[in-house]
Amino acid sequence: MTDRIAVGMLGEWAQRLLGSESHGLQTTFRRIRRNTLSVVGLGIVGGLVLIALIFPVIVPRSQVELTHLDSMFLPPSLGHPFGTDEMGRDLLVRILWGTSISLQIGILVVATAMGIGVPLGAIAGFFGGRIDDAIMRLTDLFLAFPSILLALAVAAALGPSITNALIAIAITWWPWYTRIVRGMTLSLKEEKFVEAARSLGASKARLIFKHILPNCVTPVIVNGTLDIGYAILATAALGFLGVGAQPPLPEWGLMISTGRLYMPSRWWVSTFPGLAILVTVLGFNLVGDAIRDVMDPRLRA
Amino acid sequence: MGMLRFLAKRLALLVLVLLGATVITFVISHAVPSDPARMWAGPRAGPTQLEQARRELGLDQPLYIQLAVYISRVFRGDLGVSIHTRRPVLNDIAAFFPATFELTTFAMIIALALGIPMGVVSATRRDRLPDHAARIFSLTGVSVPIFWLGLLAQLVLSSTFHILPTSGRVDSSLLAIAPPAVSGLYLLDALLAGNWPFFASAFVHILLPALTLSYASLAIVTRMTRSTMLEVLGQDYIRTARMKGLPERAVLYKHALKNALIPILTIVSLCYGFLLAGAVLVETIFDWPGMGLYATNAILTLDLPAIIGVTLIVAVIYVMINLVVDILYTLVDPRVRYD
Amino acid sequence: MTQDLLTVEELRTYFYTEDGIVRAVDGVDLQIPSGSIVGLVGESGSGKSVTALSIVRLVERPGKIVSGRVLFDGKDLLSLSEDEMRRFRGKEISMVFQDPMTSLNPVYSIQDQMEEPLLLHRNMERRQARAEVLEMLRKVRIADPEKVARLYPHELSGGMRQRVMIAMALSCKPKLLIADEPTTALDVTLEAEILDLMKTLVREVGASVLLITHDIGIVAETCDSAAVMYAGNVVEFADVGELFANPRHPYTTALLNSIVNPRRRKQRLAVISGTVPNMLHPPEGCRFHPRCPFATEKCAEAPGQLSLVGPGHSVACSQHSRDVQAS
Repeated sequence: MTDRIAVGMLGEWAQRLLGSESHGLQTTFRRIRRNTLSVVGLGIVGGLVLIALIFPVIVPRSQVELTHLDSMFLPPSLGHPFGTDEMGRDLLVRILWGTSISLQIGILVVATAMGIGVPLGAIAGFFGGRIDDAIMRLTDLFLAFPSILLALAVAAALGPSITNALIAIAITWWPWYTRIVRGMTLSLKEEKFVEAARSLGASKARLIFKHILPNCVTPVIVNGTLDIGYAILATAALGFLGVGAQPPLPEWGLMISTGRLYMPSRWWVSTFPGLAILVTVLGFNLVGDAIRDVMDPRLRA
Repeated sequence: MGMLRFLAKRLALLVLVLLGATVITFVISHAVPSDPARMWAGPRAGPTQLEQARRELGLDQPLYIQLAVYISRVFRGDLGVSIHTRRPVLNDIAAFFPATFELTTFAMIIALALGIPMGVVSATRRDRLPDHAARIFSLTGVSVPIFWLGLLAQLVLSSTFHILPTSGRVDSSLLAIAPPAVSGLYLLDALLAGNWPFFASAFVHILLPALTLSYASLAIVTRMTRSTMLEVLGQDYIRTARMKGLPERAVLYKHALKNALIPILTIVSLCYGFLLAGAVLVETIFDWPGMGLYATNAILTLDLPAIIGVTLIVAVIYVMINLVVDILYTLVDPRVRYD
Repeated sequence: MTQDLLTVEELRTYFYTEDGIVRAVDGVDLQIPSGSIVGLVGESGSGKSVTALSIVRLVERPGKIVSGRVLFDGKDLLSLSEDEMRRFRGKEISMVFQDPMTSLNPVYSIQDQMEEPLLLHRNMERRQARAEVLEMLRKVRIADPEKVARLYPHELSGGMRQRVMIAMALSCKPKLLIADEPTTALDVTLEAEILDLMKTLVREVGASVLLITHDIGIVAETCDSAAVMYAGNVVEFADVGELFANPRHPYTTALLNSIVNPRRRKQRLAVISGTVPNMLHPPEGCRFHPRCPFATEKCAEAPGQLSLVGPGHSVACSQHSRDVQAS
């Protein structure tokens, strides 16, 4: 059922893009091309995905974790463009390998948070009354804490590991999606097409999943894309503090934390992983903005 | 009259949030695989000492009684004793809180004082060079990991060029002439006492951490100001203002900005949350003796009473900030009335 | 003949949009004598509002005044610097906009907003200005001015807000008041009152009015003369009596026909066939020709020029010599 909705939506979007009217494809391409930042963003994210998919296949994990005592702390050079770390491992290789870790975590966090938050939001908005109140109190409670602190506490309680970091961040993020979807559901359920469907005898579940949720897709997708970047930031932060990824995993935040001990003389160990994070999150932000511009120009800043 | 009732309702909400927070942290702490009794008694304690520790900590009681006891303690102001420092958690927090408060407030001031003008310029010179520069600046601000930025700032400004100090709140040699601690905020206390050397040193020390901490918030404030100003400038009443022949300065700063402040205020409470979270990371890097550092240590040593205490205090702060912002709304927007 | 207060010559204002150039005002001529009320009638999208905004140079991006002259009291407003232009706005020329709900700043009181032009243009002191504000509110027939002055816009009704706008616009005794659809957003019952109010106050101050509307009935009631606009051009201009008695342009005739006559039973609603032209690609030649029942090949080639067909009566139609009577 849901795939049909998804396909239908993609089809509609594609049609809008390819444009039966005089605008459509031309305008879209013009807008995208003119906006070089979007192109840059797409390029970055595309490149990252490629690296994340290919690199772990080419370079086995063991190579990334082996210690080479004879090549510790080599500064950046032709042989090691980013230098080597405290265990003699080539930094560039580790960073590229870490791309797949970060991307996987980022996507999983967002998917989990959405999986919890979106249905809850739809239910809250649709049924209203006590159910809505209960769900809203719950979201308020979670939102009463700055999310990173809550994630920190949860991750610490569960024990330091990257999977627990994932769970921790997802737990603190779902309220945002609930809020968004609830708001949209509240306004959508008054729309005529919902009333029409209801009068035709559609069940509540059908109304929610077939009629209301598909119309919430736009802000959810825009937020979701942006959030992948922020999820990566949060994971890195937890890794930095020691409650996320554990050594010898080449997670960027963890690498910065380890490298910190050797600042300022061996500056490259912490600097390059941070650069990787910056570029990645930047890429996702640009893509998120671009998606927003295409799907709903009204939201454009 | 409506205002008092509003305040009362909000304070009641605060109590509810505290209650909920207590329960949540209590639940989380009991999911922890470590044994608090062992942590308290120490790794070399024998079975009898462990039993004693267990009884002391009230761990032999059923869970709901433990929860009830804990809740009643919290509302009396007793947050337990830190396993790590062996001091009452409340005292620890009172000692560390001012440093964090000073840092986050300074960062918030920077974010607003720089961000709002930048946003206005960005909006009025839309799509031209200042706008593009500001947007790139903002984009990097929300994309950069704050702890890395701090490290980088330390590397460049402290270690390489020796412009600013690397860590700490003040030059340790000046501690001998420290002003009396009225607020715990070094800058304020020094100002009140007229102690200029101390003030200068404290200022120079807070600059780097505060700037690092504020970067993300600065970016958000700039972006928000820009988009709000653009929206406001498209409104009919701006056209009316121009039609009256008002100078452009008055149109922007009197008519437009006051309206733009309303959504910006919303961002302030959101930003403060980011700042508190970021403080944890920034304090670690700059050895800033604040609650962030305390919290991190507590978490890494699994010092549960401390963790729970910090979480509660943070929740309280957050709710208070929201309250302050809501009150500020009524000052800025005459349409907002709580009755 | 005394010089007109306002003369617009060949005004062109174009909008440079992503999809192309919209020639919203494409060669508009207008004359407004002193102390008279001139109407500017046309459908939505005909360019009336843009003309008005062009006169006071408040056209915003992506719009731009491309060419033409706007002679006010002999001075060409389009040649002035922005600073010089600002001295005219609010003082010599004033404007009332269509939507009173959004035209007042929600975060300042009525008093604060009405004071501004007084403090700026008439160099009054605070206390003087305050008193004058109350006086102006009384003039626009608002009961209890002291209370209303301290209120905020969201606490007033639409009708009251529009009165405030009118009061504010006339507070510095301008020579020209431009009213852009001042009653469109209001109830019909208020319409007559607001128009009457405007007429009275304007006569008092000795100002002229450019009244923009899509309602030809308002023109009949309120205006001394009127210009009919279609798709960016003025197609007919005459004194109101003459315009209604002897409309020459087919569009004017069609407009007049579309007024429902309550006295005639079984009257078919007259409709102007076709649709408003796409301003990105307007028709060649006379822009009305696709919808005109009298169009010839000549009409598709060259646009009509405004030419005099009687005293004070000009028409832009290649067939202006033909007698077209209102039925």
